[in-house]
Amino acid sequence: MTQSATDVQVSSAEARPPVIELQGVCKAFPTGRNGTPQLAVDNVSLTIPDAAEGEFVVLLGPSGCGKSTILQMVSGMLAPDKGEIRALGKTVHGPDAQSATVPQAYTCFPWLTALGNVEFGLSVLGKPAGERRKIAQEYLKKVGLGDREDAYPRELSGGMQQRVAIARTLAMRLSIVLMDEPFGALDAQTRAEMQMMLTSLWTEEKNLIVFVTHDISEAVLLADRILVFSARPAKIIQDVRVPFPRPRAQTLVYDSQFVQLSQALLNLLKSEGHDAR
Amino acid sequence: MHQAFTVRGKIEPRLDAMLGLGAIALVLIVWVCITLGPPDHRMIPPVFLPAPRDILDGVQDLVKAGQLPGSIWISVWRIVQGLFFTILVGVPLGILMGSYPFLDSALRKFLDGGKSVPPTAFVGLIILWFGIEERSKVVFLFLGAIFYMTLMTKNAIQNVRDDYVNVAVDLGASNWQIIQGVLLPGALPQIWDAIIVCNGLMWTYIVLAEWVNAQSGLGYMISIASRLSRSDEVYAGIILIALISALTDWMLRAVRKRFFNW
Repeated sequence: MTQSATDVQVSSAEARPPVIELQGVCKAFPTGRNGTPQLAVDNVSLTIPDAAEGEFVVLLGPSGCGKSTILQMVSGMLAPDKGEIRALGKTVHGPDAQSATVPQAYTCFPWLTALGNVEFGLSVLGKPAGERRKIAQEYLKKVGLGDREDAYPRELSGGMQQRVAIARTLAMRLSIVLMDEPFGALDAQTRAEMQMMLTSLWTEEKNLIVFVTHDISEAVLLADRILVFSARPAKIIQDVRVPFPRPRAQTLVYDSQFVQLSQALLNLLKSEGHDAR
Repeated sequence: MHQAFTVRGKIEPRLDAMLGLGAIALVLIVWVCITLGPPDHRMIPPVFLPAPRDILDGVQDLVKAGQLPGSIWISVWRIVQGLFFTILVGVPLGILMGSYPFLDSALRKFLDGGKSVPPTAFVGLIILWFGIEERSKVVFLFLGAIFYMTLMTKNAIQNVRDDYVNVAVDLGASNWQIIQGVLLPGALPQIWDAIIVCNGLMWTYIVLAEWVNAQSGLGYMISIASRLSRSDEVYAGIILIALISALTDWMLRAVRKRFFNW
């Protein structure tokens, strides 16, 4: 069989390993007084191919279903009991500078200013001081805090602190950015603002973001692709493409297609025996 | 009813200061009253409780005799040295113990044991090892505080929020980057608190440190006055120690507020 030039091109693109790959991953935790293991992740396999344009992937599922556990295994903070996890083609052995997580809790270091916090990740990467400062200032501007670089976290609202945390992670320009319900602790209005900030910011960054949430409309608003999880133990029950073009506006939530998709997801989650928003 | 009388209510600094000073004033008034009259005709014999006026006279005598203010500086200097070495040894050791669990396990029991031994029990050994010069006073103070400094520093490091440490680990920081970039700054306010505690400890020990074998200092001054039954001078010494210790405490706290208030 002869190969034309286009065939060769396609196969070399496919030769790039997937950004994230899980194969048959299982994880149990010893919980309860007698320490009987509780299965948190049940034989999960998923592939996120390496897209030149980056991708915004959302893991959607009810609270406590194990999606955060999956995220922690991807970042290397937890090891799977069974199965394999590969990031950028290499098996994940532990936490490293390939991926970074924005957690739900406020984790800005109180002893550093906003600028100092954003510079922290860059200093871990070993960037020299001048370059650190420049990049940090750039990203603080991108999250809308350009005028607050000398503020300490205690002087900032919860939403602003999460912006700093996001800037800290994104400034490192990693291939894989993980977000574990980063807006969960915020009020509804701030959450809506943060969603808009993130989605427009991502349109510039175009890296891979894996975002965990239990909020259906948040998932549909932000994602290119939604992996829907069952209740604990986590199993993927659906893989959904979100067709809306970018940039996306907050008003998208009133669009009939948006509502339909949200409704379908809600029914899907309900039928798994669990309530979700 | 004012919040100050409610459980866990808040109190403004102004009112807080006023109440504190008011209580002191009240005590002074009572003190003056119960020690009224010439020395022979008082409710309480002056050797047990001198009148405030007597204590002030005692201070004057001590100044005339050249004992004050020199004794103050000598005692302060001894404590400064004691703190210096305690911090020099205790803080790095505490940081290492707090960061590396195997060190904590190996050394903790020694420190728990050591902290319960009063340095007074060591006095004989200290004189044997270090003689009767300045060094032995500083060693005495050092022994009184080092176990607490180390253990409190270790706790400060271990109390740094897991969330902060996890951020650094997740970003791929090395052990050194975690210790120096997260643990140390995160623990700094509590480490400073440990220094404040050790300063207080040393002020309680200074009299002992100087009682046995000193030729100078506030403790020496008090020990001589005590042997001569000069209660006024004894009280003067005690009050001076209390005042200076409170002053140094206040200064250290002010530094904490200004530089480490997270």
